[in-house]
Amino acid sequence: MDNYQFAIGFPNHLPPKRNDIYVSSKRSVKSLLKRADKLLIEETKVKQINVYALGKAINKAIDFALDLQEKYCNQLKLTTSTSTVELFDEYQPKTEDLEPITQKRYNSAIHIKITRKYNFQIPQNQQITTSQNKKN
Amino acid sequence: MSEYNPTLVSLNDFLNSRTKELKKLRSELNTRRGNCQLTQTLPKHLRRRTMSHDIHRVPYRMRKHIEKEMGKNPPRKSKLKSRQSRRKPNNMLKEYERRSKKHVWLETHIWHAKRMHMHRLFGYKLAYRTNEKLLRGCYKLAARSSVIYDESYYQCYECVAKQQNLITFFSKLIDNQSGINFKTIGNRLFLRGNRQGSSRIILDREKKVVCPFRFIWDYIPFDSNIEEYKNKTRKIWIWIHPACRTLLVDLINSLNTKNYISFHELENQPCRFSIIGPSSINVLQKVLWFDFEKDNEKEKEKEKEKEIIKDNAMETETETETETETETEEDSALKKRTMVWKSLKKINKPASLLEGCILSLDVINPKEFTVKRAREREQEFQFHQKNLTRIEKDKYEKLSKKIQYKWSSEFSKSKLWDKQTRKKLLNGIERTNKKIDEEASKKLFPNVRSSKAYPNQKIPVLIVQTAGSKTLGFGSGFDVIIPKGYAKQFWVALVHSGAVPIGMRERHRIETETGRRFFPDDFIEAPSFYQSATKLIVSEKESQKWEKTHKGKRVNYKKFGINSPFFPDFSSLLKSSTNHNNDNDKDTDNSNNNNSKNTNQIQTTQYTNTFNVEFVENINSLKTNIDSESFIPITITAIQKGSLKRNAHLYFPTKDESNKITKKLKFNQKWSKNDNHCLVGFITTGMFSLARGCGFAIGFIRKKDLIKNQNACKNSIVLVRNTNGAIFYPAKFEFCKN
Repeated sequence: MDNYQFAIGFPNHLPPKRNDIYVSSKRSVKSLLKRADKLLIEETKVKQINVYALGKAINKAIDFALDLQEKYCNQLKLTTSTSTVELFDEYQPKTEDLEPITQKRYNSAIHIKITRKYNFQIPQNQQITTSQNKKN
Repeated sequence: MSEYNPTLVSLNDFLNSRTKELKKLRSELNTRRGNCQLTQTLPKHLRRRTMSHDIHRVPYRMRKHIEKEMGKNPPRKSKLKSRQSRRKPNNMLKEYERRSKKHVWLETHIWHAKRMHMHRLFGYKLAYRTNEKLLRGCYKLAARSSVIYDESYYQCYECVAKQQNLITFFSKLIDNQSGINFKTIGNRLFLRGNRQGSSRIILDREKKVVCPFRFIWDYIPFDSNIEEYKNKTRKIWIWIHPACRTLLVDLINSLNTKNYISFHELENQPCRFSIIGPSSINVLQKVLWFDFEKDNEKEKEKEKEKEIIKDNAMETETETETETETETEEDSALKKRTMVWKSLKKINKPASLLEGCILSLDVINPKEFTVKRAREREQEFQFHQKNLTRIEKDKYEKLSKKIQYKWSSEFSKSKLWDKQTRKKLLNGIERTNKKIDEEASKKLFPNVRSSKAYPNQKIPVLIVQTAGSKTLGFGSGFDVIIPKGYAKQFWVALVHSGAVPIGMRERHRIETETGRRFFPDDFIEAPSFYQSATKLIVSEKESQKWEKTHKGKRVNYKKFGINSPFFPDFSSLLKSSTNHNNDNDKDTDNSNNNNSKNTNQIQTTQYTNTFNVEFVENINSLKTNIDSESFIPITITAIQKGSLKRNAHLYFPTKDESNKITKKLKFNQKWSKNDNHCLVGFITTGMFSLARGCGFAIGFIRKKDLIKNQNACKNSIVLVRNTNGAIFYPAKFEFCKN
């Protein structure tokens, strides 16, 4: 396949809102926990957090969600759902004899919803690394 | 002589001697005096200043007499009207025609001039930046809503010839010698006219001038055999930057001696806007509109007719079958395009479509209906999905996936390619605008978009998809191509429906966030590098500011060893063959010590050269031709903190330092006079990238130094030193493929 140039296909999702966290394989679990802390504690308007992941990053998303549960002492409700997503790749020819080829492939995706239970309280042992505490 | 006084006075003698005087007195009383004007005969309390040029200020009894006098020497009419009337748009356009030989105005100039700072570049007057502070904010807008930029200063040229001749002619010109093969014009991706391509043209082999361009082919049915079309005449449209225009025209005219190809500038050139961002589809759906329901009405009528015919057929069985109405090709193509346009609502990012695909539409003039003003930069993604029923949603979902898989050329067939349609549209503008204004003035409420019939004129419009970065998915959008004369109406409608307008400085920033080079500012291989905005506007301002400040309060560039602090000087790298010797550095420092004030003068003489640029895929694929001098473009990302700025110097680290950096140990090093690092290259654009969360820049490295220090390049680490000071920032680099 030296005569072809590979163009990867992008998943077709909406741009992220305030609630959403899209997980990629390069992102660290620490940064994800920081972001979730901000959303749960500081912003009380947020009712649920949506976590999305594709392919390789599903493992990371699951680790992150379970770590959050432990941190908040089982006061969060997690609901998951899985689905498949179609992706379209293209092989673009470099010479003039060949025709372009589009390839359809499937990938698995996960969607986790995180909500607070009715008796949600911030645990006292926890070190909350928000901006207010950094000044102190 | 009589010595006694007379006792008697004879009246006759007395009167006869006095009549002369009396006559003179009378005549002088009746007539006016010698040299003074009529107005000066008035008493002082009745004289007015404006009587000299305005007759209506003269008292009524004297007007006739003064009109006769003014007829001989009429007063000079003041050419200048009041300032308010001079600055109305119609009068400004007339004044522009007088000035248009020096620099050209775009069609939307007056709208931009009220809201942006304009500068003279490339023979045009272009918008450089907005009046608001939008440098950092344009990233958010381009990532979440949409942004619009006026690109109609790109010139369009047309080539007409047989297909085989065109392919062979352009294959000689396209840059194939560099490490990465750029696609030729005859590539089957573009031949059928369904997609746009981009490539690089060599304009001058000796002086090494190369520039990029974009092209579109004519229409061919998608399933046809290409070899049948070898000897048929076809058309290409080429878009090229105005800085390289004269070189292109000279080149092609010199090669086209036997009239192999007919090459000319397009008459009545179309305008071009580029819209970037995920809500660009939403914005376009509000503005580009044609009667959907009319097509549905036709179908409903047909079904009703069929039912009536069936009812009647039961009675009379002898009647022959009804004539099946054969759909013409145009109708079927129209249907396909409307279905595609509706199914685009399901696509949330323009990056998920195939690269460079083209759609053509026939659209109603947006002046006929008013677009609701969007609230301040809000997203309205749920807008288009509210009005669809569930069955329609499923239908369009399937279609939206078919589109990403296959894009046939029937979607891109349009009437813009005809000369006569373009002429008709231009000639008919004034008439249509007047009619619309007249009708609108009679109505009580303004026109809202409705399904009632609109006049027949429809405007052909092309929509082209542009791809963003291939790793991040940022910066993708659509280009809209509009025939000449209608630019202002489309622009105003697009801005009201939610797209935020930007200038060239913000456009430059969005391009570097995607990781690609922006044409005049980052391309060393074209002489437009020295006519770009960074050279003419930014670096001049900085140098003037530096010269004005007091010596003790400004940066001492000599002390830090920087020779050209305001603009990168690549020719100085080529002169010094070995950068390690300290003797060479001392000589250059001494020569610059003498000419401390004349640094700018020395540098201007060198600013005419272009440099050879090569592309490389991997470090392993470097060819060892050490004879050729060339530069390699790279993208640099900072490892630790620090923002990389323009004109920064690039150095290669030693072995110990690179080991420190890879092990993530502390790295604190400063530059001093007896430094052993070798100067390798410069940065042309640098900033703090908001998409990546670290410093990011685009620069050039000298090829010879890369080959020598291959051992140090295994980790691909580079040290960056800004012009401000002496701190080295460690950074990783990758080879650029554009």
